Amino acid sequence: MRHPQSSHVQLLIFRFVSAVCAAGLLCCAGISAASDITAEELIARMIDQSRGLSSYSELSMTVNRPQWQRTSSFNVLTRGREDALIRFTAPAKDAGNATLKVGETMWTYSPKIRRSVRLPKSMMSQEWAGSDFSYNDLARSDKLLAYYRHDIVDQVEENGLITYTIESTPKENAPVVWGKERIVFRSDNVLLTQTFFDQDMQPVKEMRAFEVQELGGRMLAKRMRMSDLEDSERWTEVTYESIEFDVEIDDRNFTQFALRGE
Amino acid sequence: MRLVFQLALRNIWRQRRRNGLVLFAIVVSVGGVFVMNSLARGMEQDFLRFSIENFRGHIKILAPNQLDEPGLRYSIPQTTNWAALDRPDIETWTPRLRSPAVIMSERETRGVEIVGIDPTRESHSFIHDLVVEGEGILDPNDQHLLIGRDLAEELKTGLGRRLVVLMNGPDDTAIETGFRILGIFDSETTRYEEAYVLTGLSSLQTISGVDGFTGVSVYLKDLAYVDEVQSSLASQLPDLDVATWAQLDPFTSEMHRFIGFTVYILIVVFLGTLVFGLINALVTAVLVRIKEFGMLRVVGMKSRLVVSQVVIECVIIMLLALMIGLGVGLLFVWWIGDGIDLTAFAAGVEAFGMGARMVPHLVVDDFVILGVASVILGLIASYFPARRVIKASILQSLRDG
Repeated sequence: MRHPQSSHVQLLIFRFVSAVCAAGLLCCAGISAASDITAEELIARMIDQSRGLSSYSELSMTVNRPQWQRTSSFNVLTRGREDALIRFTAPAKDAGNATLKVGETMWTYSPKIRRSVRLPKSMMSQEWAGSDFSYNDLARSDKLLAYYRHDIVDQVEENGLITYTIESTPKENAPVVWGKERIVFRSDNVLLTQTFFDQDMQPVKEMRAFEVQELGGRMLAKRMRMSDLEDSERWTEVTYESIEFDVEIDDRNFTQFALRGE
Repeated sequence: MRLVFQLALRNIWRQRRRNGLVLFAIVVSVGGVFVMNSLARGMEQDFLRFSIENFRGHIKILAPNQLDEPGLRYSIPQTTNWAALDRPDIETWTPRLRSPAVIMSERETRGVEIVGIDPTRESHSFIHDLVVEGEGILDPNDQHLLIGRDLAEELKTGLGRRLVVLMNGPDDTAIETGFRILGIFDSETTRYEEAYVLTGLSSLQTISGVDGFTGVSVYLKDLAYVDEVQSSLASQLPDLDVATWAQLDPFTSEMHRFIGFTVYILIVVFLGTLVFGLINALVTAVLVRIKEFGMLRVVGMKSRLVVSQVVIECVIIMLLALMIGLGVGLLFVWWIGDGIDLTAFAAGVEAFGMGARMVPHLVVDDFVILGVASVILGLIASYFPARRVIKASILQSLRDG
């Protein structure tokens, strides 16, 4: 049984968590969506929702592969959407491994070698062996505004909430590999699905939300799963065990001292 | 002396079968050495060619620190004065901008090197004989990508698709750009196809914000000028690193030297075996003719002439065999002139720094050495058996023979 390198796992988790947190944090203030709102405005609002928020959450993550399945636990501190500290608590083998993101820069720490390592940009954008995530999942929102054109292709009203389906097509020369992305989210900003299409417009991977409910005082999906649509046995699922928003977090938590657990 | 020569010729003809066999053995050896030698030389040429056409050149001028940290951080300014390169022994020179990069498609990510080229100046690198499907890089301002067939297959992408290239800019910030693939190339070796993605030089300069080059490859009219030109350029361009291909690629340089040496070992081994075979054959040949030589001496032939008769016989056979052998070898080399197809072992031979084709290469010097050495060995090999004849007394020869 082979596991991805622990730093890889951390990064992948980080991406997932960031993406999930971003999506989760977005739900804070429901948009009273007017029907003439443009797709760009909707996306911009989603992004703006998460600015300046802090959170503390405990999560578990299951990575599924044809040959093996692995579950680990970790907790996440976030400050806005830019900064985060993730620390593993289980399994014992990985406990203490931590990842810190401040702005665009990332470090990882492994208690075994007692060193923190700054990840080069090129590594941050790699697709890790055994991972269902990419850097784009993490930087999704910002990229969405800068590099895509958005069109609302569908909107359905149900129980007072509008479910939007937006298709986002990258602009020419955008640093985006996808042919398009299809984002389905509700007007209370719960992201339901995000599907990535290749340049033949075939779906490649998909992030899907399950069990949308109130957690920590906000509506968000308790479980989110990123699946490889070309191989049903490859998926990664992250589940919120608990989450608190607007917690007091000392800035000290986003330093390399904190990364090392000092 | 003429008489001796005639006698020698007649003796050779008299012992047709035995001498024919000796001749045949030498022909096979010489032909074998010829073919092996030309293949080894071909390999040597291959090593050299791959090393030089691989964006290296005979001499490479690099921005300082570029060797320690390849990438965009250290570059040669666009405004550099290249007057030093205006010399008769320099064939051409080419500036390039290269950076390690990560390239991403929808499904895969690979580490490659992105190279900004000025296609009009790439006449001496592997670029000029690429087979391109779609559109090549035809202008330094071209903004699209030209990638290798192997890489395209690994990335599961194709013509007209967009790829994302990520590299570290000169100030260490990440530069992420979308490129469209307008061309896919097939090259002689898959190494190039996997390692390089090409775009226009000016266009890459604009994207990366580097107003210059990472290196300049200099191609000489002859390999022999390398050290001289290198030291001259190094003194004229004190702010830049000037290195020869051998300094930049010590492995290939050593392989190159090693093959050059192997060629001579090969010749020595072949000739060594040949000479012992020859001595063996000649000793037998001489021993069965002891009575005959005794008779010649009885009728007044001087010992010296007896010896030279044997030696001349041997040298005639040797020369004849040498000519036939070289002829056969030449025919064989001509027959495999397009090279031996090693495609089945392509991965292996490429890892070794060779192409998938083993093309023979003839070096005249080697054959002059081979020819001269054979004749000298023939002389030595026949002299000692012949001496045995005159060592015995005439009476003994007549009685024992």
